[in-house]
Amino acid sequence: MRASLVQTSVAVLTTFLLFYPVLQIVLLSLNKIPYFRLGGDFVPTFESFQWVLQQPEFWRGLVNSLIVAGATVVVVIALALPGAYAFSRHRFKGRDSLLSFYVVFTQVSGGLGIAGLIALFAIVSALGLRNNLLALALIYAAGAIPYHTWLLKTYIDTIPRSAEEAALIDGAGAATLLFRVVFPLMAPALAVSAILSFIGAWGELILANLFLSGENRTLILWIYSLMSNIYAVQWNRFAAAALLYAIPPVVLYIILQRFLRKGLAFVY
Amino acid sequence: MRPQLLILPGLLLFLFFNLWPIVYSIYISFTNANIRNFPQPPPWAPEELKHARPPPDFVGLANYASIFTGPASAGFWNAVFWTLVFVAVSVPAKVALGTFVGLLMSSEKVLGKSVMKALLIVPWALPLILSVVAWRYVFDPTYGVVNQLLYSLGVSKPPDWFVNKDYAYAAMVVIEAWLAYPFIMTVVIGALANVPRTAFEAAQIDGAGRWAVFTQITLPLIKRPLIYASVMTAAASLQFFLVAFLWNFIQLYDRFMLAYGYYWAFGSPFREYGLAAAVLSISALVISAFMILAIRLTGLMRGMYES
Amino acid sequence: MYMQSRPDVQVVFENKAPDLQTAVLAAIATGEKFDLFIWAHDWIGLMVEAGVLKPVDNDVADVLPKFAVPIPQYKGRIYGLPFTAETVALICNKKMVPEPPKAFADLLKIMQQHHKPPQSYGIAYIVNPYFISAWIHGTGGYYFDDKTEKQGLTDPGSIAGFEFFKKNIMPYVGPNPTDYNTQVSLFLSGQAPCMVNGPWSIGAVKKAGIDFFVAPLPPVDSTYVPRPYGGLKMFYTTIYASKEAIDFMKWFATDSQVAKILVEKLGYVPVTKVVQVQDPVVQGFYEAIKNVYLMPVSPKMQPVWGAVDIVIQNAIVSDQKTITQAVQDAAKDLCARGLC
Repeated sequence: MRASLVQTSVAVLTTFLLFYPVLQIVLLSLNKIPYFRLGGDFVPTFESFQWVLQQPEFWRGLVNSLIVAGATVVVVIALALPGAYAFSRHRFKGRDSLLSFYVVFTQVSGGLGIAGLIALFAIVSALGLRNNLLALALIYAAGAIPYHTWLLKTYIDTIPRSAEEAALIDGAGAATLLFRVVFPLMAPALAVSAILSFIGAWGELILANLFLSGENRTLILWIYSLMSNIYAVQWNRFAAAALLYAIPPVVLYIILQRFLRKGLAFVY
Repeated sequence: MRPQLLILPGLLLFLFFNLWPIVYSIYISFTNANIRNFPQPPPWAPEELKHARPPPDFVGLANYASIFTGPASAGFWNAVFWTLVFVAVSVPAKVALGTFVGLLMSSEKVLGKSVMKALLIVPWALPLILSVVAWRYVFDPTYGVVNQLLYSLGVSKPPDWFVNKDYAYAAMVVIEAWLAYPFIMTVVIGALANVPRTAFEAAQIDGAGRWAVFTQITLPLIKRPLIYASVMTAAASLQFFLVAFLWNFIQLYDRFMLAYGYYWAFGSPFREYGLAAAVLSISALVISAFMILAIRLTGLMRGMYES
Repeated sequence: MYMQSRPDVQVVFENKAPDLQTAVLAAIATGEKFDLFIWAHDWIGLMVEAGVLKPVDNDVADVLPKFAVPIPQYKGRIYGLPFTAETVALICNKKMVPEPPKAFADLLKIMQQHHKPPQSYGIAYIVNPYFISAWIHGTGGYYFDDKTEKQGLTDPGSIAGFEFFKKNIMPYVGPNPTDYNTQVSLFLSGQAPCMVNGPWSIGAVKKAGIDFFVAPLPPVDSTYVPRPYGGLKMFYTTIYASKEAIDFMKWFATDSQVAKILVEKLGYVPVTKVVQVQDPVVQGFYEAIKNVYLMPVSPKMQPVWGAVDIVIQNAIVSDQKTITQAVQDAAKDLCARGLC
């Protein structure tokens, strides 16, 4: 079909309007003037970005964030996939209630609350796992299990059982079944899970602030500290750092879109 | 292999780190936990510490009573009311905006969609503080683009979107719509991508007008995913807190359930954790009730138990 | 420096911004052992009630005479040593204001002269409870009485103070009055002749290359002398504080070399008798400290800060309520928490 000028113009205008707030931040990161200069002049420069890339805390935070997010993905997939398979292919006592519980919890889990936070802190301290990146990843993964189990389960529902039945007839054990037969077919759904859990771990602030100290602090904590300076916040540096930090999630979301378009309507 | 064994590792990890704190929170809501007695020192702590911090006392329903009848009660119901208003206003806004954009991005008549989609997905991916900072600039009372526009349109005293309670509330609706539209947009795009072209072509051959195509073909096909997305996003509106906290807690704390609980817990001299836990438990109940009701009404779980 | 003289001791610093209070409370209560933390003295009541601090009266008795200020105490006991005093004062750009204003009338003239929005504004003032406290205390009002642990917002003196600020200073304040960064940048960029701020902001002022002076807030008349809230920045000794840590604290707070560095590099006002103040900036703050109204130590003060913030937002920075109405509403809330 031919492109329509009207529709394209509307689309461009809408995109511009919706992107505008972010555009301001981009301009801010490129500005020479550090403080929130109201209505000030725009002097373009890459100084802020250079400064950010020169900070060891930036790189350290980056590595830490990658470790935490990466570990979260591994744990989530490793634990949610078998569970999802079980929910999908089997019937057993308590299956329906547990599944409902997982679904409802996903929505309510947000308001964990300070008391729960301190209880969590107490448990983790008691185990001596407080300032530990992998432990944090475990905590993130734990919270993500219900959602991802349910997500993967609904995908497995759409896979015909024929491959598994054939494998079972050939005498395949459970492990072979999972890894050789189901896993390869799961690529799109696994990608979705991986991306979502990565992004969740990448951006988590509260738990990270409470648990991590010194060398282990993740990137988002460093960025937050740039904004909390009581002396005089360097807005252009904060903006530059935040934009750099936001690149992985944005890129991942764009990739995610592609997978979603490839027919993951199963989610509905 | 027994299916239970496959589920167990994930379930156990989840229970250990997530359920226990929630259960503990509920327990705390029945005590007078505050800064003086909570959390409890570990066994190896020095004696003076244990002495100075006796364990919290069990007070039964006292915290809940104070929410419904005590000094916090009028405010609490006010907060619940305004939270519901927020849901009623922001959800249609989010869904309308997301659907509009989703439709545009699925239209074959639009050029440059991939670039636009990438730009449009950004609000979803940006860390929240950055989004709030960005909107602070937009709503700045003197130099922000919103007020500059109003000024040029002849409004002599444009509103202060931070300090004025109602305008701050309005700003929250706008920002929430902006934060959530990418999700709806993605859902719509995904759903439409699965619509067979034949349906559209058949309608074209039959000479159907554009509006008819939209209402008779497009809408019904994306209805279910849209309802699903609306319910999810309504839950987010119910739990709206962080943005209000970062924007102007002073004016907005009594307009949002979770914010109100936080205010009473941490504005109190001794950090009333017990009271906060009670507020949060009630909020969690309200949200669960809402979710279960919404899921029942929209029949979302219908396909859930199948396999 | 300390580590050089005492090789067996290691001093480690940790920055727990942005929420030091929660970090301290969470850590101590779950058994994490750290010795000291630094903050202004107003947390003392809260921290003692939470069981976090250890009294050190006996350990520091020998250095007490060296101090020129009262040591912060809670219920008669000492829980740490201060090393600097801070409060807000008037910081002015010499290019726009050659001489410190002697009386409020002079300051008013300066503000009126320079108030030409949007190019320039009368004054850069961060309108929050801490910064405007001076004007409420000057009229005999108060936010909170440390002895009786009762709020004082509805006291006629307090209301008079709020009204004075709203009528005589608020009209000349730059845009976004409650935002710290906006106000500071107004001053740093030369859009305001003066700002009201504390010693912590001097670093940024010097960096911006502004030739400035520091002076106490000018009195309105002989009976109305603005008395801003002030704090003593101190080391708090936790229950885990070791003898080495306490020794370090004593050394840091009283050693003349340390004091010299604090004064020269950071512009801190010293609190010990040993140091001669020569830097005019420090001298300016020193004069301001003379009028100071020490922040309360009772933990019950905590909700009062929020209550005053609400009053400011509803009645001073905007006109959503009258001052009388706003303080009455705020008082109602505070009474519900037992502060009446």
